[in-house]
Amino acid sequence: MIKANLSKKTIIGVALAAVLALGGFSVQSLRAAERVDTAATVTITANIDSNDTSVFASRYKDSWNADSIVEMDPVTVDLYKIASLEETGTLSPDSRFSNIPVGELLKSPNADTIIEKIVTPAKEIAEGLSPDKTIAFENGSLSATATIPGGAGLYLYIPKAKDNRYSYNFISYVILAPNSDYTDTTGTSDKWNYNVGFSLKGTEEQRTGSLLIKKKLESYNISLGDVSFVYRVKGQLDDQIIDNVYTIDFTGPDQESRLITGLPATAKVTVTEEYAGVSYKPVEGSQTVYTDVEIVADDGDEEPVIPPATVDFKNTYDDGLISSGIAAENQFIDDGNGEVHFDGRKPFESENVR
Amino acid sequence: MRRKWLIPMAAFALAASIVAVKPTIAYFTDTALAEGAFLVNISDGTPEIEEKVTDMTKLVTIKNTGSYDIFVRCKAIYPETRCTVTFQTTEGWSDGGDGYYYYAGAIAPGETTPAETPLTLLVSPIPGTSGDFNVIIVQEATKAIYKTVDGVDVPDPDWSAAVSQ
Repeated sequence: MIKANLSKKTIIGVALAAVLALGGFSVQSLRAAERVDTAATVTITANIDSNDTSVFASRYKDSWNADSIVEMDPVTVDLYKIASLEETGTLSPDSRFSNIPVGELLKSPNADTIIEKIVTPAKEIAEGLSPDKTIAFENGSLSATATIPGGAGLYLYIPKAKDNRYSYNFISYVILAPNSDYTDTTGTSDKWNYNVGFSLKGTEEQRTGSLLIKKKLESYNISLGDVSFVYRVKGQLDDQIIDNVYTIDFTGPDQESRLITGLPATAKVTVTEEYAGVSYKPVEGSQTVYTDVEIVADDGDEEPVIPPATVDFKNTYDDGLISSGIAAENQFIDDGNGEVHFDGRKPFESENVR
Repeated sequence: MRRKWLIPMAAFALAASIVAVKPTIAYFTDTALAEGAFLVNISDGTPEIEEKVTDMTKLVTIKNTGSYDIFVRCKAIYPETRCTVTFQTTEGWSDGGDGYYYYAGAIAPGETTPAETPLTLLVSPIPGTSGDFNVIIVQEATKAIYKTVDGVDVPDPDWSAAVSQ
């Protein structure tokens, strides 16, 4: 175990610069600073700035309105105690994080170095652990606090937030509790502050969901051979245009389905049976168009908690004699650099999910 | 339901009496009925689509894997907000103006529309748009029926062919 002795006669204070600026830990000598009260209760408060106009802050605040369309999961911040802060200001790494070089904090590292050498490896370890404490935002409050008796130490914090449309990415970081105002570039007090905090700044990432198109072919003319049906999925979410076509193939009377993934969550799409073959017709009373089908976020989970939006189509042989054979679905991929490439042809039936 | 297989037989007999029909001997033979399936016959194959895509150009040929002459037509279904599909004239193929591209001649069993003059469709992404997309080519075939005009057999594809009720 590597101990970081931050002081002997003089106590080295370690404070987190403003999280917004991610200025890094400022390690300075706190001359004649008082000893750390390791039995004291520390509080760590996460804040959402009331003036923050980011998508995250705006939607968090909006989610508490009665008529809001934003459905936000509870915003939480998981805390992991990486090291204990001892009376003398020595950081003693927790046994779970014994390989984290907290001694790096003595070198006045910048934020990038702290993220690289402490935060990133600590996060990897934390993935397999339960948090020591979780800060939970409740009732639309713009701040939430964790109270930790005898909790002096260095904490890794990992914020988590998502709503029905976005997941939010935060920069996880570390915070010392208590810290000293003296270590702030503008501070002058060397007293330990046992109530510390940071602000949440999240960047949004569009979540994705799926659409399940179910198709039942009640009767089938084997003479006309395999038959494909084509579906158009079209919609718009802000400036995102959703427009694509998909096949479902049949080799007999059966029920097949096609799961369309990667659609933007909360988008409302129209699903149209674009091509039903010239020798097949919709079953009387069945729908051929579905409108305002809302895509529910599943983030690619193959077994999502909430089943995907589902539409059902039913067709039957209409006594026609025109062979409407296999429809070839050619897939073109946008490489993200403005170029489109032919990616191949969907194998007949192979991608269908029963 | 079980009598339904008789219907195409009757329809064919009626059609054969008013038009000259090129080889379609097996078209309605070997009729059978399976549970859950409307089975007209069990001996004939159906057309098979073959494609190549080169530099965003789709080259389509149709092979007749059946046992009777057929006429074929194709249509492209694609996301209009993401791409365009433009028909390039090649010998034998024409734009019917109804969303379909037609091949003029009949295709005999085992034969393919000419590889040297395939149905040629140019796929062009619309500038300013992004994302993956699909272009679907649907092929349809109908029995090669001819009518006699002034003693000459003239192709007379019936794209609305249906079994009479």
